[in-house]
Parts: sequence; structure tokens; C-alpha cells
Amino acid sequence: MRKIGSMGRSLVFRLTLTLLFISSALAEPRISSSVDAKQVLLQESFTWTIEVEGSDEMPNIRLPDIDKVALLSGPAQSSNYTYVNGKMSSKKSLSYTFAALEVGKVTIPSVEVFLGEQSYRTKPLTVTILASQTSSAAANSSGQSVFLRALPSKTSIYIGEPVSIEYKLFTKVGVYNYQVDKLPDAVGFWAEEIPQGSQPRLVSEIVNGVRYNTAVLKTVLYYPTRAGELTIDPLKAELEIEVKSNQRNRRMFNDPFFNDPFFSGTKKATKNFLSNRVKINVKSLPEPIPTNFTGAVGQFQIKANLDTNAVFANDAVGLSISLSGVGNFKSFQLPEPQLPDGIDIFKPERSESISIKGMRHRGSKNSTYLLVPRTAGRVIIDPIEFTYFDPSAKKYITKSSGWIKMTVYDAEGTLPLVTSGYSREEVELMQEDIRYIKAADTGFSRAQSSPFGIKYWTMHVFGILALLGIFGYEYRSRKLHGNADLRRSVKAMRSARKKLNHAQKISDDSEALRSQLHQCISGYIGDRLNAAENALDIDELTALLHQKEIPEEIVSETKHYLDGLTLDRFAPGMVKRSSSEWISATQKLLQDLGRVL
Amino acid sequence: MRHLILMSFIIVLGANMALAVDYERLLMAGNKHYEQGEFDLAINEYEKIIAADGVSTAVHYNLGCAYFNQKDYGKAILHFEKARQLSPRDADVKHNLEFSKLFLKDRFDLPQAMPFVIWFNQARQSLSLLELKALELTLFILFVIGIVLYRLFRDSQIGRYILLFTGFTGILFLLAAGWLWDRTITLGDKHAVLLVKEAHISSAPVPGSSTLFVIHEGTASEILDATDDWYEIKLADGKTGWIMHEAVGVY
Repeated sequence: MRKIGSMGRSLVFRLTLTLLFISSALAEPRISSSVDAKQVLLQESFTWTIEVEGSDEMPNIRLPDIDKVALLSGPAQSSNYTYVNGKMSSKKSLSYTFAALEVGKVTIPSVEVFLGEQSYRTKPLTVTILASQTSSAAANSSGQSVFLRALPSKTSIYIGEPVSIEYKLFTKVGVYNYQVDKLPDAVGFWAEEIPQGSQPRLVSEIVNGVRYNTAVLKTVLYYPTRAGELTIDPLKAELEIEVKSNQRNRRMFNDPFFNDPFFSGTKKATKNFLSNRVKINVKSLPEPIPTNFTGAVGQFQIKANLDTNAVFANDAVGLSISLSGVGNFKSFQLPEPQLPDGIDIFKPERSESISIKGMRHRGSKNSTYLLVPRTAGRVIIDPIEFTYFDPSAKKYITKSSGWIKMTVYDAEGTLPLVTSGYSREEVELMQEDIRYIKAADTGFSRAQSSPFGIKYWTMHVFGILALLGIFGYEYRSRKLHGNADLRRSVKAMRSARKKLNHAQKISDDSEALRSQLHQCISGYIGDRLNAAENALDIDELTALLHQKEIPEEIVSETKHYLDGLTLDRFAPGMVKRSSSEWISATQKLLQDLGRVL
Repeated sequence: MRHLILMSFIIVLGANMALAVDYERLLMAGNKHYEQGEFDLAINEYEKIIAADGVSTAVHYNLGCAYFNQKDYGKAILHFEKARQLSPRDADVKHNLEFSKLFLKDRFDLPQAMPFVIWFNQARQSLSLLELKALELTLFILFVIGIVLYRLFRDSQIGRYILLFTGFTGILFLLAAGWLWDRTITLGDKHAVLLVKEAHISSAPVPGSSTLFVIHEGTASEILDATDDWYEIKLADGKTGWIMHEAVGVY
């Protein structure tokens, strides 16, 4: 921020001067390259500066790779204008600050400096990095009072599962300022810094019995992209710390008074600190890997819907697929829809909104496809499925969007063309989805080979036995009560007819036939009127009939018939009637009696 | 006698309520897998219940749902049909069965039946076999009790009402028995659902006989005849032909 500000200011300043001294001729620019120290101690920093005099152009270089050092800051640009004896001269510089990481000679190679369209070369420079006894001792002692730690949230993770590393400063002395210019190298990871407030918060913490002030300088999320034992290099931080100025030998007054702590005082010093290396064991994802797995690790939800469920053929409809959740959003693509025939699909518009919350990437990824159905009818698009690995559950999970359905209307009409033989009920059904499973069932039973079990038949047998029992009981009780009269009365006509049939079978015109006919009629009357049949003579029968209030003509007919029959039996020839005539007369009388009795 | 009948009645109705706890646990385990989207594991658990002779609407219904999610529409329809036989009035079963049928390749354009015929067929299917058996048995027992009571109280005031009741239950019993007979006859006519993606229907139950037509997964048919390895099937549109046992599921 500051850099840009100064650049902006210098630009305004430069423009003003250029306008004022537009006529002044410019001499050939002079280029020089220098370092601020030929010898540096390990972990200290040095600055390399390229200066250009006599040019309006800001120099521009391509920074070479330099061994044994690490870039701490830069390029820092500065411009300087001087006006001497009516002549203006300008001086512009580029400077880089490096941290010395390894002992040895460092060569800053010759670099090409571009000034506008021209280019110039600098001379190579060497810097010696020393590992003096004092420096390591100082490092040790200051390492005790100030040190930087990289604290990973986990050390064993799956590919695609993030690990967050806190770079925490522990200090016993005052720290005035700090600067971390770049994230450390981490081969096999992609890293993203978690933004934090401008000022780290100081927290008091006790380490090995010593109280330190601590502050988290940076938090970085690392996503591993391959398996194995991976290393994250140390973070380099430049700190402006408070050091004791105990350079007593330089003191002018060797007096106890000035040895007082009040005078010994402190001063600021800028030092570089390195954190520890972090080793992370990255596990590969468990086998078998599902076929539709594309590398997503985390927890996700997928949704897919159309912007409208009813369109005209050849009109466009938007299909948006949205994946939301937590995980390594940058490492995978959204699944693509599988469309039935007759729908054109265009390249999707992709968008994402992902932020870091709670040390994880959280957000959503969307792609919106434009579909153009070409034929009218019902369209069902298969559910869009997305498989991811859930590191906390340690398994693969497939989420499905559910069926996507739309009705495509014919270009002219408003009704969908039912081309595929779906009924109206079925088309309505298509708007719905499969219903969810049942939670429980208490109605379990055992599978049976036949639909009717033994219990079923037993129950029926019991019922039938009960019926038989009741009828048997009835029959027995009737017998005991001897209610034979009723039966006789019921059976009277049947026995009379039997006797009549019997008489018809007698072939000759005999007395036996007439006796049979007599029994038929007298027996019938006796049965119906419940009287002892054989004991009855004609007068008694007539009296019984009179008693029952039988019509007079039937009574006299009966009397006449019986009298004639008796006469014919005992005095043959007195009555001129053949056997067949007697039989028909009996039938007629039986009918008449049956009607009235 | 009356005591005995009453006791037997209670025993028959209560018998089907005695349950194995094991089934319940397997069902829960299957449901848990289903909730997590692990349909293959859910199917494993549900199939264990069926292998152990466990029968319930929920098992067949959930199994159908799991197979549906695996896009195994043939097995989904088979199990939804089995669930429907157990619970003909269950709305979820009915919905999922009809919904699954939307995904079938074979569609038959059949003439619309008369509303009365549709209503009659629905009514005929509205009770499960178990319910129908219970109904028939209950009416039979009421009829028997009615006759017994009539014989005992014939000469008293209530004799006439008992006779009326007995006659009424007698008629209902005959109707229920007829209904049950009809059901066991139609249940005897088994149905087959194609479980493989595609099958060639042969003209004869002999390997290598000519193909009459091709049907696709989930298509249901009536079984007309069977040999050791083959079924003779009849499709909804009346076509008949032979298919191997292993290609179909029978319900």
C-alpha cells in the first residue's frame, strides 16, 4: 500500500518536473549496481540496489535466481531529482532485500536493465555469507528470547484434505514491526493464506516454564495434491526487535553511573527469523476409488434445477447445477448432466463463491447450462450425481440432485404432445419423485409356502364341528320329546301317495286293491287329524271331519266314497266300478282332502 | 363349545403378531445405509431378511426404493409389487410402483377400461390376502355363533333377531368366501417381472427356438404355464411366448 502511494506521488512529481524542464537535454544514463554489505552473517539481510542516473525511465529488470539467499522484499523503487546550477539531474533506483540462508559466497549475476527501449548490463557482484561463532551464539540466545514456530493443525491427512499452519512468533522482547513477504515453498501443495486482521493479537503463553508473548503472524491453508511425506519449507520473517545496547567497550564513560540500566538502554534492530520445517504425512485416498470420483474431498451437497419446468420447443431453458459445502473446491470440476435425446446443450457459464471460514474453504460452485429442447413432450433428466471423499467419515459419499423434469410444449399449442403413450395421470406423476423408505414395520411375518395355514383350516373345522354338534343335539332332543305326531302329520300326503302307487301296481281287480285304497284315504285323514288310523270306521272319520269344520260336500263325498268302497270290498257286484275307476276316484278325493286338511 | 370357538378365534388373529426381533434390527441397519446413500449395503441388509423368510411391507418397499436408486427398475418393480400384495391400500407403495413404471422401456397402449370395471378391479384388490382371510374367518365364526344362538333361543323373543343376524352374516360369509376364492385363484396366477435389461421371447421352451419379440427390464407379464426352466408368459397386450426362469422375478 505504501509502495503504491509513493509511486503515485513520485509520478505526479515527475510529471510536474517533466513539464517544467521539458527542454533540458538528457545525457547518456549511468547504471550502477551495488550491495549494502560485502559480508553478511547467516540469517541477516542485505540489500541489492540498481541505480540509474540521467534517465526519466524507471529501470526494469528480470530478477535472476540467486542461490543461498531468499528474497525478503522488493523491488522497492525510488526516484530522486536534484537541481544544481540550473541543471536537473534525476536518480532512480530499484532495490531488493535478501535474507542470507546458507554459508558461502553468493554471486549476484550481471543483469540486463531495461530503460524504455534501451537495455544496459550491470556488473556481477559477490556477497560472502559468514557463519561466525558469535552469530550462532547470538542466534541461540536470541532464539531463546525470540523464535518463530510453524504449528500445523494435523500432521497426517488425506490428499485434498486441508492442513492449516499457524506461524506463531514467541518473544520475550519487544517487537516493533514485522514483515513476511512470501509464503514458503511447499512442493506438492497448493497454499492459500488466510487473511487476518492488520495487527496480530498478542497472547501470553508459557513454554517450558518461560513466559512468552505470542502472536500469530500468518495462517496458511495447504492442500496436498499428492501422497507421501511432504515438506513445507520454513517461513522467513523480518522482525524489528528490541536489543540491549550493551556495547560497553564503546562507551565513552567508564563510570558506574553510566552503567546503570537506565543509560544502558535498548535499541531497535532488524533481524530475520526462520520457522521450523513442517513434515506432513499425506495419505492417498482409500481403494477402491469410485468411477465417478473426480477428486473432491470434504463435505458437499448438490442441487440441480431448471429455471422453468414448462417451455416451448426450441426455446431455451437454464439448467443450473450448484455444489455447496466445504472442501477443496479448486481441485475438481462439477459433474455434467446426461441429457436424453432431442435436447441441445450449450457451454455452461461457471461461477463460484468461495471464502475461508473456520480454516476451511466454504462456498459454492455453480454452472448454468442453456438447454434447448427440440421436440415436445415430457423430459426427464437423470439425477446429477457427485461423489466426494469425506475425510472425517473416511469414506466416499455420493450425493444426487434428484430427477429433473420438464414439460416441453408444442410451438403452436398449449398442451404437451403426449407422443410416448403416457396418460395424463402418468404425466402428473412425473412431476413427483420417489417416496422415502419406511422407518419401521412391526408387521413381520414368516413366508409361507401355501396361502392358507393349518390354523386357518383348523378354525373352519371347529366351526363345522360346532354346526354338526348343534344339529346332532337338536335331533336327539326331538327324539326324546317323541314329537312323532308332527312328523306323521308332515308326512301324511307322502305316505298316502305311496299307498296309492302301491295300489296301482296291483294288476288284478281284487279285494286287496280296494283295501289298499281304503287305507290310503283313511290313513291320510288319520295322519292329518292325528288319530289311530286302523281303529277308525267310517262314522268316526266323518265325525272327525265334521269336528275340523271341513266343508259339507267334501265330508259327504268322503263318506260316499268309503261306503261304496266297503260295499265293493265285501259284496262284489253291488257297485259297478272297475279298479281303474276306483283309483282315479281316490286321486280326486285325496286332492280335495289335501286342499282342506 | 362357545368358549373353545372364541379361544381359537383369538389364537388365529394373534398368531401373526408374534415377531422376530432380528428382522427389525436388519431393517434398521438397512435403513441407516439407505439414509447415507449406500444403497448396495442397504440392499444387502434387506435381502438378508428375505433370505430368512421374513415378510413385511416395509422390507419389500424399502428394497424397492433401494433398487430404484440403483436404477435397477426390474427388481424395484418386483419388490413394490410384493409390497402391494401385502398392503394393497398403502399410498407410498402405490405411488412408488407407479412412479417406477414410468421408467420402463416397454409401454402398452391399451384401451381405457370402463370406469365401473376400473372401480370393481380396484375394490377387488383393496384387501390383502391376510385381511381377506381374517374377514372370511370372522364372518364364518359369526355365522356359526348365530346358528348356535338361534338353536338356543329359538322360542324366545330375540329368536327372530338372531335369525336375521345369522342370515345376514351367512350371506356376507358367502361373499367373502367367494372373494377369497377369487383372490387365491388370481394369486395362483403368478406374475413375472423381467429383471435383465432385455430378453428375447422364444416361440417354444427349447433353447435356440425362434424369437417372437423382445421385452425390456421391468416389464410385467402373467405366467400361463411353466416347465422346469421356462415360463410361458402373456403380456398386457396379449402376446405370449416363453422365457427362461432366471431372467424374471415372480410375484
